[in-house]
Order: sequence, then C-alpha cells, then structure tokens
Amino acid sequence: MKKNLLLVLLLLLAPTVAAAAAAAAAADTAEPKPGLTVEAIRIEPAAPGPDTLCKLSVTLRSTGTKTASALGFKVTVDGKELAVYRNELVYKPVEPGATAEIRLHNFWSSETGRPFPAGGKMNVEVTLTEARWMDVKTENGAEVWTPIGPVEGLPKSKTIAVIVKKSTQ
Amino acid sequence: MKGLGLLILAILAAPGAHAADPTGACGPLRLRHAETAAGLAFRHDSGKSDARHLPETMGSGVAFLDYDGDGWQDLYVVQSGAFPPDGSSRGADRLFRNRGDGTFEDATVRARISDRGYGQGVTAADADGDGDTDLYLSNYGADSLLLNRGDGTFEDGSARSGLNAGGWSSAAAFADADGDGDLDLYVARYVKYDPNSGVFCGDFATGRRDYCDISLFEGESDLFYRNKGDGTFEDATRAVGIGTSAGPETGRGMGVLFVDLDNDRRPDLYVSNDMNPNLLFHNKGDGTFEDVSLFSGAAVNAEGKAQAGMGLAAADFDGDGDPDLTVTNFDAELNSLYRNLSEPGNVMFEDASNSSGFGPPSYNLLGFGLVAADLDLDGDLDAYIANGHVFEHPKWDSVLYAQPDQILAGDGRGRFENKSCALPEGPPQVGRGLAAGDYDSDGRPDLAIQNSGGPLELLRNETESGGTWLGVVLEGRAPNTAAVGAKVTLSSGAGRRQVRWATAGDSYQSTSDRRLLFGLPAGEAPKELEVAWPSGRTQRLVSPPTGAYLTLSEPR
Repeated sequence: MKKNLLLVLLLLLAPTVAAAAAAAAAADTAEPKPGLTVEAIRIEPAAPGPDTLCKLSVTLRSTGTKTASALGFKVTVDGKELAVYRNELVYKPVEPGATAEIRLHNFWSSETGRPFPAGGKMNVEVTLTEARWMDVKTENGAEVWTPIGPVEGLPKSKTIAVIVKKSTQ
Repeated sequence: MKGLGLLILAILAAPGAHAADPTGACGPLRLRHAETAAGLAFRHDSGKSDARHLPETMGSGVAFLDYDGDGWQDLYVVQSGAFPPDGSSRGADRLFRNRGDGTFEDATVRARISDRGYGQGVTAADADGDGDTDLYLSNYGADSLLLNRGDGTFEDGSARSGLNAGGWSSAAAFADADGDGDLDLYVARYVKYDPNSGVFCGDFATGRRDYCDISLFEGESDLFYRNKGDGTFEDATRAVGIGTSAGPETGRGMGVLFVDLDNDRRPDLYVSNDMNPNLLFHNKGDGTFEDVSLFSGAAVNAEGKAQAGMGLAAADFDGDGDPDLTVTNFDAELNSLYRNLSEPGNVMFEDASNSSGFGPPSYNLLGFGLVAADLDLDGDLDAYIANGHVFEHPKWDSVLYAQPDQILAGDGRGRFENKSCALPEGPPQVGRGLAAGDYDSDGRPDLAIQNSGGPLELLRNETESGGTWLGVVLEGRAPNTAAVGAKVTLSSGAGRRQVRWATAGDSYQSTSDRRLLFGLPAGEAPKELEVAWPSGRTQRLVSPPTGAYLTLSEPR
C-alpha cells in the first residue's frame, strides 16, 4: 500500500520536476539579457599620495545588440559623492558585445570634507546609473544618433580599494 | 537735430539709469554677487603711480577653465602689479580652484603658477594638444605660455615654445587656422609705450597727470604664430598674409577672436583696434588669410569712422545661423553690432548698432569686456558688458571713471532691450576683463569680472526661468582636444534654432567657459542637436535630453 502511494506521488510530481530541470537547463544556455555592466575601474596613479590629482576611467561591457550611450554615472570616493556627475551624460558609444573604456573626471585624493584616507586604502565606487540604446546610422554624410530606449537592469556598480601612499614622496 | 539725438542718447544711457531689481519688474533674470561667499579674495593691482603710465589703466583679464579636469570651472585671474614691471610678487597672477561646493581655494602655489609679468590677458586652450588646458598670458613685456602637466601643476613653456611676443600684448586667441589639426595663435598688441618717454598728459594748469590719449602712441603690430605640431610655434605673421606694419594707421589691437564668419567651415579672424579700423581676415583655406577689413563693413561704423574698439564677441544674435560681430567702444561712440550678411567666400556685414538697440545705451559708457550668453534662459542670446573709463577725469560731466555694467536682453531676432535694471546692487567699478562660465554647473551662465584697481567680481546667475537648459562639452580629436572651431546647432520643436561656436579667447583679455550652454523656454523641447566638428564630420543627436551637460566626442 505504501509502495503504491509512493509511486502515485512520484508520478504526480514528475511533470513539475521535469519542468524545473528544463528551465534550469534553458537558463544555462540562453543569451544574457541585453545590458551594460561595469567591468573595471582604473585609477592613475595606482597608489596616489595626499593632494594628488587622480585620473579615473571605467570599462563598460555591453551584452546588447545595439550601441549604448547617454551614460550617466555616480562616483563616490570613500563614500562621498562627487557632485559633478549629477547632471552629466556621456555620449560615447559602447558597441554591441564589446567593451569601452570611458574617461571620467579627475578627482583629488583629498578634498574639503573628504580627508586623505588614514587607513591606507581609498574606496572608489563607480555606478552606471542610466544609459540608452541608440540607433546610429549615417544620413547625408552625418552620423545620426537616435535613442531607442533605456538600458534596463541599471544601476550597476563596481568598487575598488586603492592603496594610498602616506606621503607624496 | 544731431544735437537732439545725442541728448536723447545721453538720457537713455545715463549711468544712474540702472538699479537692482528686487521686485522682479525687470524680468526673471537674477544675478547676485557671489565673490565673497565663494571665497574669491582678489583685488587687481594696476600699479597706479603719479606718473600715470598708460598700461596702468588697461588691464586685466580673467578666464574660466577646468585646469585640473575635475569637471568644475576654475578661475585664472591676471594681476598687473608695479609699473614699470619689477618681477615682484605684486605681479603674481592667481589661480582659484573650484571645490565644487560653490567655493574656491587659492591654488596658485600648488599649481606652480609662475607668471609675474605685468599682466593683461589670459587665453585658455590646449596649446600642446595633450588633452589639458594650457594658459597663454599676454603681458606688457614678454608673454608667457604655461603648460598644463596634467597633474594639477603647470610649467613655464615660454622659452621652448618659440612664442616670443614682447612689447605690449593685450589679448590673444587660439584656433586651427591652417586646418592641420593643431591650434595656432594670434596675439593682438596695443601700442609702443616707453615708460621713460616723459610725456605729460593731464591738466597743465594744475599739473595733475592723467592717462594719455593713445593717439600719442604708435600702434604695435600684431603677431600670428603657426603651431608646428611638435610643441613649438613659429612666427608666420607675414607668411599667412596678416602682417600689419606698426604705425598710426594700423595696430592698437585690443581684442581678437576666431570664428567662421561665412560658413565655409574655416575660422576667420576679427581684431578690434583702438582708434583704428578693426581688422577682418578671411581664411582662404590654404593656410593664408585675405584682408577684407574695409570691404566687409565691420571695420568702421556706419559713418565710415574708426572707433575705439575694445572687447568683442561673435554670436548669432538674430537667429539666422551665422555669427554677428559685437564690439565695445569709447564713450560718445556706440557699441557696435555688425549684422552678418555673409555667404561662403564673401564676408559682408552691416552696421546695425543703432537700429538693433545694441549701441545707444552705451553712449555715456566706455565698454571693455563683452560676452554673449543666454543669461535669462529664454532661448535668445543676451549681452553683458563690463564698463569703465580709461581716464580718471573723463572729458564730459556725464561720464564717470567707475561705471555700471550693462545687460542687453536679446529677442533672438537681432534687437535688444536694456535690462541693466537686473544688475545686482553694488558700487560701479572700472570694468575690464569679463568671462562667462557656469561655475556651479547648474546650467545658468555666471559671470566673472575683472576691475582695474578693484575687486574681482563673481556674479551668480539665479534666474528662475521656468524653462530648462542643455549644455554641450566637446571632446575633439587630438591635438585639437577641445574642438575649437566646432559649430553646434540646437533645433527645438518650436522652430527655434540656436547656434554656438567653440572658441578660445574673446571678450576683453579673457576666456569664457568652453562648455556651450543653451537656454530653452518653458514648453520648448529640443528636437535635434547637430555638431559640425573641426575635422569636417557632422554628428546629430535626435531628441537630446535637457537639464544636463552632454559630453560628445568627435567621431573617427
């Protein structure tokens, strides 16, 4: 009796288990959803000292099939937001399936209200807050950029910890 | 009859006709003194002495630039100092770094600013094409080129650059004049002035000296330097066809700008001269220029008379897509507006100073700095003029040494209304250099004003227009990394077309924010933004967003 009951139960559950397994297999092989990710952050000099002007670049990776652009960023250094990015959009192209290095603004390793980190590390977080897919084509010799729609799945962030030097020497 | 006209002009232009506008009856434009709150403690030292040397009353300039690349507009302020110049710290210029919180800090020492010449003008541009903003300093005496090292400091590149202008340089401007991709330089020079000449000017009865009339001095020839592309320049003044011999009929250059006047995508050259006809050189496209000054209609006024040209600006005031030319002049002269009638290859202007309403309010004033900007964000370009006499005791009772500035609101069709009622409270100054820049990056153009022997002023624009704005940052291909010479057109759904040109050096001895700002009235959405890049490529953005600065890169 118990054996029959177990068999019935297995038969009842089988479609559900099979569906779940199929879904898992499909997820493994499906194309990633079109989007942008922050792949890397680069800072020069690599180990800044106090009162040092730092150059900041970010590498974005596209998994889309169209050019992405109109990129909005938020940057924080040791948790302090750099306000300059609040009303800026960068119209550099991130080509389909490719990476693009975007040069952002320089920042000082110490600033009013943001002292030079005492702990030997400076945390820099770059968030891609918004972007748009663009249709880019040539019309009468001009390159025409037409926005198609927003890149979904944003914001995306990355943080790096920069080792800092205690002095500029 | 002419006397009646002058009387009416004098009444219209009375210095006391302006006042602050706390009630808003003057319109939405709001400018507020912000120099103290911003921590800008600078006072121009003219070096005024009992001898009353002429250079003491002519300077100096100011520049908005982002020297450290942090996205905020910093300020470079030119100092003059002792005259004759003695190289002391009295002549040390100042660099104020924008902290991004509405305040500035003095970064002169940290940035290793070294110029101690008797300062006149400052032109900010990427002279060596390495991606950061350098400084050309026009002095009485040797000029200086300060090269930005990209790490927040500058080094003196004067000696190795080949830029060897001496004499009395007033102002300078950069552009890729020969189309080879790098920035060339034009230096406007004023007069040959010898501090030991012993000439007496002033009141013979009392023995009181005043500054001399410049008709007593021979003009100094201007200079054109070709960028050789290796970080050095060569004097090509005569080779490119713009050599002018020094003498009473030429020279006395005060202001200079490069802009494409005839829409052939090549920068032409306009120079304002004091008491000499202004110069207009058409760029022939083969690395040389043609002097079309007198035929152009922009050299003299409608009566055929040369005026005392000081500062200048080029902007599309009448909305027809080409740059009109404006020049500030002496008192008892009208400031000039030359309406552009050019076609490709044919540079032509008409003097519309009177009919446009641009000139008459200036009759009792002596204009120097001049910028075109949409101050009230209504979609039409306005003009701000910094005024101040050169003589401490001007000839007419109705004319003063310290003078109020002026705001002329444009209607987008080439006509102006005096809106000086929107000037902030404060004593009149002896205005000289003037630059526009959005130091708080809120989309509203602010103003920095240098006053001879007076304080640096920063006017924060607090206009609530009800509309919106759009800013453009151009990143050109090296070596012209700021895309100097680019033309940007914003078309809106209302059929309005606004045009801006990327320039490096204009107004009087000054440089404005290189970002290009567009105001948009309420309900007016942008339809398309077009950039005609210096390389010849054209880029269009359909339905650009508003309320933001858009950074565009020159396509490859």
